Amino acid sequence: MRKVLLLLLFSLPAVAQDRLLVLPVAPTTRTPVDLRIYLACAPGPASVTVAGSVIKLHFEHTGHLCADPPIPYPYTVRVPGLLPAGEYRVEVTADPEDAIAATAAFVVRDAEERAFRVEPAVVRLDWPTPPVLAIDALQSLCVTAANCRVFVDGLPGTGVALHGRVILFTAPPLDAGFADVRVEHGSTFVTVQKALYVVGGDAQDAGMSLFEPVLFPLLLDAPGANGSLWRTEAVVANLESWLVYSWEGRLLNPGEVARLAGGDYPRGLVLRIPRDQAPHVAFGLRARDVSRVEDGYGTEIPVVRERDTFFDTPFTLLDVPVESGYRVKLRVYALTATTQSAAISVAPRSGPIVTTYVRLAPVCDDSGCHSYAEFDLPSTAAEGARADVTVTLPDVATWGFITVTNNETQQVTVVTPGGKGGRP
Amino acid sequence: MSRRLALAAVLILAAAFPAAALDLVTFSPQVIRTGEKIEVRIPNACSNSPAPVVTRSGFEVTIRLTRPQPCTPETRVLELGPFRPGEYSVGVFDGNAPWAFGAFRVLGEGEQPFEVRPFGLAATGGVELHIRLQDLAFSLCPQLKCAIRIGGVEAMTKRQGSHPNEIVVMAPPTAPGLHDVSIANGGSTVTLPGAVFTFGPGAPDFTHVERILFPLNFDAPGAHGSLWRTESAIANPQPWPIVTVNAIAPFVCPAVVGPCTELLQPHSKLAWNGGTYPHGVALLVTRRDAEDLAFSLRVRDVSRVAEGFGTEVPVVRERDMDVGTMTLLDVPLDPRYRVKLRIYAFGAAHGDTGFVRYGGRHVNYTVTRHCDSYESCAATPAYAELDLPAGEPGTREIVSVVPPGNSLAWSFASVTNNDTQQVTLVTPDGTGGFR
Repeated sequence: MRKVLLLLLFSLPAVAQDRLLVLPVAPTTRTPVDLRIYLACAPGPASVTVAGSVIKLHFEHTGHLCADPPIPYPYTVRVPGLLPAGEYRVEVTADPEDAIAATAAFVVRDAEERAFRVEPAVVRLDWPTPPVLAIDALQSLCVTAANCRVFVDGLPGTGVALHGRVILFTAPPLDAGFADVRVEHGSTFVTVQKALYVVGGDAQDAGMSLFEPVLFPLLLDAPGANGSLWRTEAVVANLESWLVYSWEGRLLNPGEVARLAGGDYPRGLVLRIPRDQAPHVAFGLRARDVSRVEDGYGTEIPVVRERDTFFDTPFTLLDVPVESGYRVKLRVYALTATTQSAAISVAPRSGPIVTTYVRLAPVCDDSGCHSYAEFDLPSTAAEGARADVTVTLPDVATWGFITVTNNETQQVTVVTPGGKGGRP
Repeated sequence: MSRRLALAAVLILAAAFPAAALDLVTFSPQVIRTGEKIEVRIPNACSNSPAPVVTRSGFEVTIRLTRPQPCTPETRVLELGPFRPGEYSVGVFDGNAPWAFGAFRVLGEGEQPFEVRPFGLAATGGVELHIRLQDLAFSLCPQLKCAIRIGGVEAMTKRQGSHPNEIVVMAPPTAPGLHDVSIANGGSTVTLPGAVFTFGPGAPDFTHVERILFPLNFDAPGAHGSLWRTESAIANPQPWPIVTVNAIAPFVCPAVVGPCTELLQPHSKLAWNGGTYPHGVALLVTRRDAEDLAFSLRVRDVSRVAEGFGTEVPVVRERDMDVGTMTLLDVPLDPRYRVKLRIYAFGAAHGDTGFVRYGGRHVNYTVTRHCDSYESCAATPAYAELDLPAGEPGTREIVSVVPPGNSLAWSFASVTNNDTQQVTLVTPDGTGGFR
């Protein structure tokens, strides 16, 4: 009987690893870490112990007070203190058996000021070519390239070059895990410990804590209604003097500006960029009816960073025009794979609030998955009709936007969420 | 039924039927934190009882305490703990017969016994504060029999909120600043430090107050017969009111003394067209309350309303502003368009300069700022605008905007088609370049 209860207690996490969340998704040495687990049965008191790189979350088993039907409920436990930089694995256990019910892996990045930083500070062993890394310091560490040497875990980098105060070099063969980086110039040297993290094949789960998802909500080239021909124009710029990488490998050279017209991603594309590099990359995106290119320059669509998404809270799109003569479409995105249903509540200025549930579908590529759903809002004949739209999708990072398209002119107005909320 | 609800039900039943056979066990301190020991008070024990036997299993604590006859009644005090965070039930048994019970909750690291919303309010008071108790098991304010003080001043009006664990009080006048909220019940007082922030007529404290930029708020004629109008909205979808430090909607301010605040009632929305801020204005809200609001802003050529609903203009949070270079990608400097660059800088002074680089050009600009009070100066960004001249057809440039000094800045370019008046915005995303 106890085993049955234990099985019930942890049945969900055992089949769905993503039901153990590490919050925040990208912890640093300055952020407390919470572990959130979803259980249908109320667990006993929890204890958290950190032993080296293993965090044990242990529940004293109670075996009763189960929800019926078994809807998982989130339980959040804080890891005591702050974690030092390192790679961690979470194991969940429960009395009396020591069965591991759910695990998660993540990396805590060092947020302290250091003599220099490495760009990118995370690389993957799977990249097809050795990465070209940059050393960025507040002061020049080398005067000339000839006398400048860089070592990663004791192995020398090659092709050392100076670009202002930035030192560029090709990484030597790397091992998975943290690596120390040392810069030597003549007889002087500076070493930064754990300056670089190398993602090995068995550490892919930790990717979310190291790479920031950047969502392009639309990348397409497709015919629309009334003879329109929609095309997105995306631009990505690296105005720094180092290379920018994504999960797949090299993305942009120093100073490079890449443009993409059209695309085959009507449900969005997520670029995963090393977290330390993401703020330095500039993005732009517009959608345009190219059958009427003389009419205008199109409509800007936000490129969505993780900080723009909503987690554990609904978000609200205010004053959405729902007059007849316009097509109104809501697109909803989650940054992880989910098949949950988003609750879409439409509150008109007068009349009842109508809630519709729309199921998201995962959209996956080599770097990971996000999820997508769309919903056509009904229009009304009333002039000046507006509605406030609230989207609720718990436990995942969510974002959405609405396009309001004039049937005659094909002019598009975008409505994006400015702040969170609930039903107005 | 959840454990929490079960506990609540037990406590409510105990309160409703005091003559019931079971005695109620009480605990001290009133709010228990993980790692602390607690005192358990068992009424109607006997002074000649042998030592009790205490066992724990998960969240259940069992105390076996014999009551010999004859019995000299006394309240037996036991020390237990420390406990891990969670909700515990306590049963006291004489042999197998239950005769007393109780429940307590142990707060985890970072948990507070209650929370207070909203965070910000005018020092004049008069706004309902919603106090949500973490758990009824604490019995912080049973049947509203407690004294709730904000900054040491007792709130004289209180009522039960819409939830069983919510108390609503009318905030009394206090001095401007950060204040504790305390709940006193009998001889016990539980305090939440820094629970509310009150603002007065002086300069806002940006430690606690955020500037939320509405880059345009106006109603004005433009080129080629266009008539531009902004449509703005602020919504408070929360079940508590939110008070802003200033008001930006074009209504008459009702305040006679002190700052002109805006009271956003629970589940309400404030929407308006037009405005008097063509160079932008900041809505000042406490940082904690700002997270609970929703915003929208569109600009529209109302001389051509049939053609579309206009263009969304971002409402800019401080986290979207930058003290470094802002990068606007692919700005079309094409003869078909008028391109205007607008720059907003908080913390810059009238006459400060910054510069813009695009297409090999370096253009200096000077910001202006006109304001006449603490409040309006806090809400008014230093502003500059530049018309970027057109180049060859098809020209697109990357525009780098360097704000004056270390000001907190934002900028955008509006691209207006000369024929159709369709407007496209180009907003900054990411940094880079001229650091």
